[in-house]
Amino acid sequence: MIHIVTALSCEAKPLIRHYRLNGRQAENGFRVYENDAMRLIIAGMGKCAAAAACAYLQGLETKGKHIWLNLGIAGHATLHVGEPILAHKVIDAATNVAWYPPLLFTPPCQTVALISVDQPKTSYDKGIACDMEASGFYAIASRFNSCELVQVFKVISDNHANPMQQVSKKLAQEIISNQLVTLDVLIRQLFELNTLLASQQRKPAIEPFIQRWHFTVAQQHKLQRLLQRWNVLNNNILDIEQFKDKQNSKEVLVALEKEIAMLPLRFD
Amino acid sequence: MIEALYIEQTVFDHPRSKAIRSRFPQARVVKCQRYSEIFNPKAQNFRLQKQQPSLILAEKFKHFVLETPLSYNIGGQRNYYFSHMLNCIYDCRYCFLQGMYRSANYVVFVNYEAFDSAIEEVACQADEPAYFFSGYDCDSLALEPVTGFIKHILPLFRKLDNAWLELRTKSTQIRGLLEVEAMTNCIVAFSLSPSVLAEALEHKAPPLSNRLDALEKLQRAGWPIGLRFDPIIYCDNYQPLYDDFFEQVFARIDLQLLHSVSLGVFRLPQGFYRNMVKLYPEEKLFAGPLTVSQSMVSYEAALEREMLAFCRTKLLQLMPENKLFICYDND
Repeated sequence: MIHIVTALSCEAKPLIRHYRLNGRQAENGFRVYENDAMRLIIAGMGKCAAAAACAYLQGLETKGKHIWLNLGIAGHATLHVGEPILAHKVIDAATNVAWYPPLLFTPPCQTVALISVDQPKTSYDKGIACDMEASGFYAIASRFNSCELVQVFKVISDNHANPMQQVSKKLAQEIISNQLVTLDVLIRQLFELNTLLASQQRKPAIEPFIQRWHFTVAQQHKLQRLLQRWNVLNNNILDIEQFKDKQNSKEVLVALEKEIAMLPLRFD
Repeated sequence: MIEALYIEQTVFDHPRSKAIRSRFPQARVVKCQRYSEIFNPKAQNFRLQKQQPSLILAEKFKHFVLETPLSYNIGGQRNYYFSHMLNCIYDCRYCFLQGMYRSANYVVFVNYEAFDSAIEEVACQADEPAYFFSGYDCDSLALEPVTGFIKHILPLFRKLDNAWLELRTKSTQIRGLLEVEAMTNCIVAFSLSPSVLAEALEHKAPPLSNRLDALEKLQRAGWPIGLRFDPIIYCDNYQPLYDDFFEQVFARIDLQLLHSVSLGVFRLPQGFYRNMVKLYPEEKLFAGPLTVSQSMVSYEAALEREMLAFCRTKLLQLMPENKLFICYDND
């Protein structure tokens, strides 16, 4: 699942249409839209709102590890209006704290540093994009997953020639709509990374064992690792029936350990 | 090869930073305050990053030269290590770096001159020969074409009578060494494993045959050679495997130019091991007969003893005892 955080509904609308997201019923505080693979939240403006929205989304499904994307508009001195960017550095203007989203894929657009400010700004730092949410988003979203899967994607809405005062809801909607293909590419790349990460985190099923014997939490961890080792060393599926005469979890673990010790270990 | 370069603000215009940047004209260049902003954050995945590591150029301020653990020696009493680089371009599944660091990015400290001063100071203070190991947190030679560190440091050791340098490597990047006169106080130590194990566990590293070719070339040029059989890996057929392997290696060795051989079984601090199992739960190496003792993970004591005894006996048929050193981690 990918979690997308936008500040404004005009930034969200093109995505809601493109990805056919449905509004969740009975949400308090935030508007949330979703389909099977994506959940989008409209946070409101500012880094506090973005941070709160991240926490809110994570709270909807605390067990899962999700991809996180902050999507919206940003200013830049020289980049053209409508140009998409991916942040390779996110700076919080108030604290000067910086995050460096690792980009382990070929970025589908150019990458720039991005500074998040507390108040709208009419001047631009040289070579740095400017928004109001990314630092709040990054500080919190990176608590919920590995940074490689937490990214910031913006579309340039204003520059020296086209000042911020000219940015309208209609323009925001239009420039984001025009970058949906780039966004599709980015999302696909993030899902590919996520699949790799998920394969690391896949754990063998211990349910058949815990339904039959009582395992303490520590024993469950031990059982999980033993089953992992069994799977690595043996292509056959472990038959739980071979432990049927065991009286308790301790006996099962000892027997399983003995079984594993008997398995061949070769690297050729 | 390198898609992103992170460079500390203070060394952005350092001549070495500029030279390294020029080798990667297509790379994204990102300025940072300290390398630790990129290297240290918790929420990073070493395994994912290993697919496309970035290069970080930084400045080191302290701890240039550190003492090695007691059992890490090749005949000297005073043993030190230094790291101009953190992380390695190879991806050996048994390597402790993947359990120690959160990031797989490479860090290169570009203020080489500060290492010079620290090494010189330690060497001059020592009343007996001081041994300096350079391949502890990285491979000594693998990134040499980019860093030029060894080219920089060799002249220093050439003038230090009382100091030995060990370059520990799996690399075949030996051109720089062959271009200069061999040094009697610089040991080029190759980490070697049987081919079967190298193929299964030493990802991205040159095959055994290439390492042996490189070793032979250096030996012919007069460089003292070290052999590092560490870690020895257990498998059901480890005895015939290592038996053939030692024969294969020593068929290429000139015992006159052999400085030292070290031997150690696979072992890791428990915390590192835990991190590594999380990264690679499907790895056969970690599914073997390992056990925890005094916060170290290694093979069960009897098996460890058996493996060391077997390898030692075999090696002593091929080389003199005074050049063999066994590494333990329980000191």
